[in-house]
Amino acid sequence: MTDITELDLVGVAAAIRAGEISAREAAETCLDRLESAQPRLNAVIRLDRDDALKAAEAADRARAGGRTLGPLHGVPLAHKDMFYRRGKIATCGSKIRHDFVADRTATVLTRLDAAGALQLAALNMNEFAYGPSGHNSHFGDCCNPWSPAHITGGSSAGSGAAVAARLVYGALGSDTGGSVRLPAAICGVVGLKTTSGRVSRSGAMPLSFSLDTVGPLTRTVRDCALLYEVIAGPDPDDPTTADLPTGPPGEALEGGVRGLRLGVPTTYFLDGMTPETSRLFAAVAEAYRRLGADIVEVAPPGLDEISALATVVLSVEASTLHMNWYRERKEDYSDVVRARLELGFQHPGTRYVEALILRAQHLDAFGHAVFDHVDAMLAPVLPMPVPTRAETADGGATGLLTRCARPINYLGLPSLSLPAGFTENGLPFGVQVVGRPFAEAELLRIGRAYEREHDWHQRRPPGF
Amino acid sequence: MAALRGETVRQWAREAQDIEFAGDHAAGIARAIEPVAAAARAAEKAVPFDSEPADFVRAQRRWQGPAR
Repeated sequence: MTDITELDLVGVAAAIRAGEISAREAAETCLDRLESAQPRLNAVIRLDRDDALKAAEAADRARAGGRTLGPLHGVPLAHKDMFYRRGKIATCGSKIRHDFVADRTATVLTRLDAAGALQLAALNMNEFAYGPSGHNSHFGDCCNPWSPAHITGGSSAGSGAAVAARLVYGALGSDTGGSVRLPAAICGVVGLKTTSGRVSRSGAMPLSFSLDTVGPLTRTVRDCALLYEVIAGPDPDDPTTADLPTGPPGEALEGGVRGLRLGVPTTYFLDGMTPETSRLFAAVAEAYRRLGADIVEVAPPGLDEISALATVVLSVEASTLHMNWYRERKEDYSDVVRARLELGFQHPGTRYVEALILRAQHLDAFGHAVFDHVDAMLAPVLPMPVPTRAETADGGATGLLTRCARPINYLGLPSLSLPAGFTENGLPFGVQVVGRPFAEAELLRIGRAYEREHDWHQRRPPGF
Repeated sequence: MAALRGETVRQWAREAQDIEFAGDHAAGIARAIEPVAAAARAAEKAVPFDSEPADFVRAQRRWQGPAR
């Protein structure tokens, strides 16, 4: 058997299904890697070795009895430590919840369990998911596998680092202002920010109930499609989920982009880019042109305003949720998160409701400027090269880090982050493909077309 | 108007929530929030009378995929 860390998620699932490796072997390999990488990456908050091995053995027994548990039979995963599992602690990356034991299991975990997946660990994250960098003063910063001095991006920091370093085959994250796409782009993996209403948030820690979304981080687009298919769809426990089909999976993924129209923005998203990142972004557009897509310039309006309104919604909702802890345990927050919470208390109620009402107008305006002309829009995830942890330690650069990601949450659109090269500092560069509401299947098809022609997803961080 | 609104909010924060922002700290918070507040104020004029947050879900349905 070859090195199983060379396999992607789809590959390891097939190998387990075929009996080429056991679920226990796969789990042990990943558990050992999670443990040995911890001093260098600090990606893990809790390792669930015993429970994971028991689940792996159960999967192997089922297979021996002729049963397959599901499409993720025996596949080792780990998730951001904010998805509740009954009887387990979900720290949410915080001191305040360091001993919070969940009394229910998140719908997304229930669906992954039913599909046969194993959860090996709870992963590091920004405190309460309120930050875009991967810093954490309670559990220690999560470090980028490509360079420990650099940020992983956040808030799903451990999810990005663990998948990039091939410690697990996939991980769930949450995205309120970029928290799936940023660690995906910065660690060089694939991340899917789902449409608002596409994936249940029941049992996932809330940050901003209007903007929160749940999505997978994986090494490849086809891995991402598989996890997406398992977790997406309506959930009676989350009444904000839409009762809509999740889109054509399987062969449609390989449909290519010939004849599709892809937009390249002339406004907002390209501000803050450097000559180096501009070249990398242009190369992605050119690659799609070679693959048969029409590349069309688009000019979505009002994005500075959208960005501000997104901040109003996020900060007011987060501060509302944290108000009691802020009153009673203010000192238990990190300085950076405490400062962010204080800003949220300052907006009048009318401004918050205005920001919610204006979402419809802005989505209509964006739709007319973009989707009247193209099927999806390309944009950078991070406009500049990845900064170091030291450069961003005080919460600085948050505006630029989230500049290209945050408006998409306000608009409620799906966006797929793809690895698209490396900058001169050796860190990954990521591009997002932004689509119509509920067009995840199309985004995955567009992403897969690029992935087939490039090998960014096959590069390994040094030492992993 | 903007200053009055800001003062009202700080008063609300102090009295209704017992959250104290004193002296330089309060001024620092006000400075930090101003760029966002200014952009949001600019948007206020666009709020129509017959509107509600649920309009967003309707807009989502108008624009929902798939691509052509």
